[in-house]
Formats: sequence, C-alpha cells, structure tokens
Amino acid sequence: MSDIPPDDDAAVMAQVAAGRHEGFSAIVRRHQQPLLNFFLRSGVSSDAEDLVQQTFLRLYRYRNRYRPRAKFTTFLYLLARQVLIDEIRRRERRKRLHDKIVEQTGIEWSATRREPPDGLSDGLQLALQQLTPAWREVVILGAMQGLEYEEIARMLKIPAGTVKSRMFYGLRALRQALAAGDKDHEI
Amino acid sequence: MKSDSDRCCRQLPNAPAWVMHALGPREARRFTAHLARCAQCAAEVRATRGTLDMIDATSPASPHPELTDRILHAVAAEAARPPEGRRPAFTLALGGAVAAAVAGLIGLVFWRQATIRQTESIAQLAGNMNAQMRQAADWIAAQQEADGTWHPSRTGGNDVYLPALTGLALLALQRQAPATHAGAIERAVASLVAMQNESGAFCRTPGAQRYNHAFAAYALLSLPDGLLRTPAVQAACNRAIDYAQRTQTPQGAWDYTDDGSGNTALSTWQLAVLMQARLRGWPDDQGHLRRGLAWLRQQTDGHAFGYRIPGAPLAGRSGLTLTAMAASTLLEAARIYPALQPEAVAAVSALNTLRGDVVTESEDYYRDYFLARVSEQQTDHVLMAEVCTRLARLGDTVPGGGVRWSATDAWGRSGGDLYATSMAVLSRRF
Repeated sequence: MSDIPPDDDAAVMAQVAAGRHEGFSAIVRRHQQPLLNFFLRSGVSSDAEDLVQQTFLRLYRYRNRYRPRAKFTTFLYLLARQVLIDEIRRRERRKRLHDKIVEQTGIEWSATRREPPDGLSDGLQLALQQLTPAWREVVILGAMQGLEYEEIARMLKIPAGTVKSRMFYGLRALRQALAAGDKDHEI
Repeated sequence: MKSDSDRCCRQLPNAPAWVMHALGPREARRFTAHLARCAQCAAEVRATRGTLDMIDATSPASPHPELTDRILHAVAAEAARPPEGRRPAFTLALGGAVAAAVAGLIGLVFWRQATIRQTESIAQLAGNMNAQMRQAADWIAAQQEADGTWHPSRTGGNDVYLPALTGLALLALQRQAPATHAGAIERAVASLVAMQNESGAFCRTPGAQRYNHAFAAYALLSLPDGLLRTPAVQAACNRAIDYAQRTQTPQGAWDYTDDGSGNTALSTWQLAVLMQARLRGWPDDQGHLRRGLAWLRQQTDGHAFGYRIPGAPLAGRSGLTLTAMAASTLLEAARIYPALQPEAVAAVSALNTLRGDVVTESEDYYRDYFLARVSEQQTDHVLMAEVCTRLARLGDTVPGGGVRWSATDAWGRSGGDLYATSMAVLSRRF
C-alpha cells in the first residue's frame, strides 16, 4: 500500500478507472485553468485550450495506468508536458515544411493571415522566453504552477538538487530579463 | 574553517528553495541561521520574494466558458470509441496513402511553382483581393430583397434554393464586412428565422429541403455571439439542430429524401451544421455528430472520397471536391475529437495527391471553397495562392459598382451569380 494518502483527485481517478466517470468533470474544472496557464506561460497561446483538452484526453486514456504513488499533479503535468513537447515538434515540422515551400516558390506572404504570436504579450512572458528551456521549465512548474521541487524532480527525472539550482539560476535570469525589459521602456 | 561569506556562493541556490519552503527541515534551519550572517543570501531572498510577488500579481488567464463542456464531450466521445483493434480498416487503408502523398507533395510544390510565379506577387494579389472582396460584399448587399432574403433567380439561379442562398449571402457578408453591412445581416437573420417552419426546416420543397436547411442553419450557427444568443435565433438554431438530427439515417448519413442511403456532399454540409453547433456550445448528447463522422470516414476507397454505392466502385467525378470536403470536415472535427487528427491528415494527403492528378484550372467555386478551407486549416500557402489567384482572375467589375463572379460552373443553375460571388468571398482566406 502506498504511504502517500490519495487526495481527492486520486480517489476520483480510481473511480474513473473503475468505470464511474461522474467525478471526472470535477478534475477538469479544478485543473483546466492552471493547465491553460501552464501552456500559455510555456509559449503556446493560439491553441492553448486545445492542448488543455488533449491533456485531459490523455489523462482519461491513461486512467488505468495512474497509481496514486505520487501526487496527482505530478502525473497530470507529466502528461501536459508530453502534450507540449508533441505540439512543439509538430510546429517545428510544420515550420520546416512552410519554409521549404516559401523557399521553393519564392512567395512572400506579407498579407497572409497569421496565427497570433505565441505566448502572452506581457513583460513577464517576454522575459520568460529569454530563459534557457531547462530553466524556464522549472520556473514555470515551480514558481508559477506551484509544483513542489520533489514533484518537478520526479516529472523531469532529474535530482532534486538540480531542480534547486535550475530554479535559482532561472529566477535570477528572469529578474535580469525583467529589469532589462523595464529599461527598454524608459524614455 | 571557511567563513559564511566564503560559503555564500554555494548557499545562494538555497535562497529560492528556502523562500518556497522546498528545503527539508534540517536544511531550512541551517539556512535560516546562515541568513542572519550573510548579506548576500539575505539580498537573494529579498530579490526572490520580489520576483515571486510579481509573478503572483499577474492575472492568470481564464479558460473560455465552453472549455469544460468541450473537454467533457471529447472525453465522452473517447469513452464511446471502440477499442483500437475494432477500428474500421479505412484508417489503415488511407494511412498507406500518407507516405505516397508526402513524397508527392514535394513534387507538387515544384509543379505548382511555375504556375504561381507567372501570377502577380502574393502581396499584390492580397491587396487586390481585399478591394475586390469589399466590392463583392457591396454587390451581394445590393441584391438583397426588402424582406431580407436573396432571390437566386435574379442572378441566374433557381428560387427553390432561396433559403440556402440567403444563408450563403449572410455568411459572405458576415465574413467580409460585418460592420459595413450590419443592417443587411440583421435583416437576413430575421428573414431566415421567419421562413423556418415548425419542423425546423427552412423550406417545404421535397428534394431541396436538406440543402436549404444545411446552408441556412450553418449561417445562423456561425453568427457572432451578439446575434446568435438572441432568443429568436437560439430557438431557430434549436429547431434546426433538431431537424438535422431527426433526418439522419440510422447509418449516420443524410440524403435528399428519407429513404436515401446517404449522400456524401449533403452529409458533409449537415455535419458542418452539427459541428458548428457543437463548437458553439450545443451538446451532442445522442451522438449524431459522432455517427455522422463515422459514416463519412467510410466514404472513401483509400485514395479519394466519393459517393459509395454498395457493390459499385466509388463514384464522384474526380473526387477532388468531395475529398476536399471530407478533409476540411475531418480537420474541423479533429478540433472536437483530437483522435481524428491522423485520419484528417490522411485525408489531406489524399487530397494533395489528387491535386497533382487533376487539372483544377476550370471554374468550380464549390470545389474552391473547400480547397480554400483546407488551405487555411493547414496553413498551406501554395494551395491558398492557387485558389486565390484563380478567383482574383475571375471577378468582374459591375457597371455602377461592385464586383461579382459569374456562375459558369455546374452549380450556377441552382445559385446563380449570387452563389458564385458568395463562394468567392468565403474562399478568400488571407
């Protein structure tokens, strides 16, 4: 038996795995906003809600694999992170294809309807994008999504000490980027 | 023994962890004691708190109110899906076309570039089309009757399709110039609501009822919230959705009459209605949308979509239009049911292969509308350029003002120039 008592989400997941789906909506309602913000802060804005939906779909598909040995949020964000990685790869593939077409046809699409720029437009978001991916991921998960260091370590399969140092360097870099951004706006 | 200041460099990474209560009890006590003696770490703690306060002060984004329902319906659909092993063989069949289509795509790019280079630059084309489409919207608005409808017979079509053409013109105005023609839009909406009968259909002519219904219902369901959420429009949409659901065959298709076995094109339009309803917040409690999509996914031989008649090869001219319709529908459906994404991609690949095989220089606004939709859904600039170049060339300036497209294709006898012009406006995707 696990030494971590199941929280509400874990109990609901056990019910869902047993075929009783009524409680799944409570999980969706509880976590959809934090997940949305996770994707937004990670630099995806145009399809962030779709990614939230994909995450819950994966959660449902993996309902039989979930074991409440770790916190539920560890499992949920593990899925969300995988959805994010898949999305980034999809976009990169699409961009490569697009660039190839533009290169081969010589078409300049200055008037093309473009997808909204990725990520939120506030200074914090801009500063976040200046962090290395490894630092940014830890800062988003820990300082923004409220995950514990142990959860992050488990998710990313890195030692807790590495989470600690990435958080330190990440927050420092974020502070510097924010300060630089403020300076840019001074007249 | 090292002094505290010597150890600061090693202790500094503990500062955020200490602030965020991430240190173990012993480590936390040690760092607390250290803080009292180390100005560097104390400063780091203050700075960390400042950063975290700033992060907390930013307002989190809120999901769209419909997101919960959308997710739960997607999960419900997932729950209702058969296990992997029982999926239709079509997935595998069309999946096999993907590799060939990818190889074909690169060749297609080279094949198309010569054509496209002969045209105006795309930026110029976009600018020209903007002006052209504004004038087209003016022309469409000028054809509106006092009662808010459009009569296809005035521009060479057949008045039996008045509801469909009123819906189509409404869609075009709403897309191109909603502010300029707000009055015309409101009159069109009122006319559609008024012409709907108690069964939810928009006309009583057998044979024309289902197409008329699809276009009119789709137009109403595509209205912006301000118009869609009015009680009269809501009620009309409820009735229209009910009609679409009632007229679906047990196999999931739609046909011109109740005893038909299923018509791919008509079913695609009815699916557009149900999908739009789903995306605008109507539930699909009874699974009509899912059944319709499941049926549509079977209307292919692995290379193209068409009209499937039991015991006969797939029919449907070149298959290009129907494959474009199916690809666009499946891409849209994948927004609701992400599990459909692989089949949507496979349909697009099939479409790309067909595009290499079929000459598309002829005028066909119906086909081009769906090609344009796919080009937008896939951000396929080559296809977008191809469609828009063709359309830009065909628009005629009308003496006295406006631009219109002449209905010279197979559908012109039904919809007239109003159909061609509305489709052209709806096909403009940049």
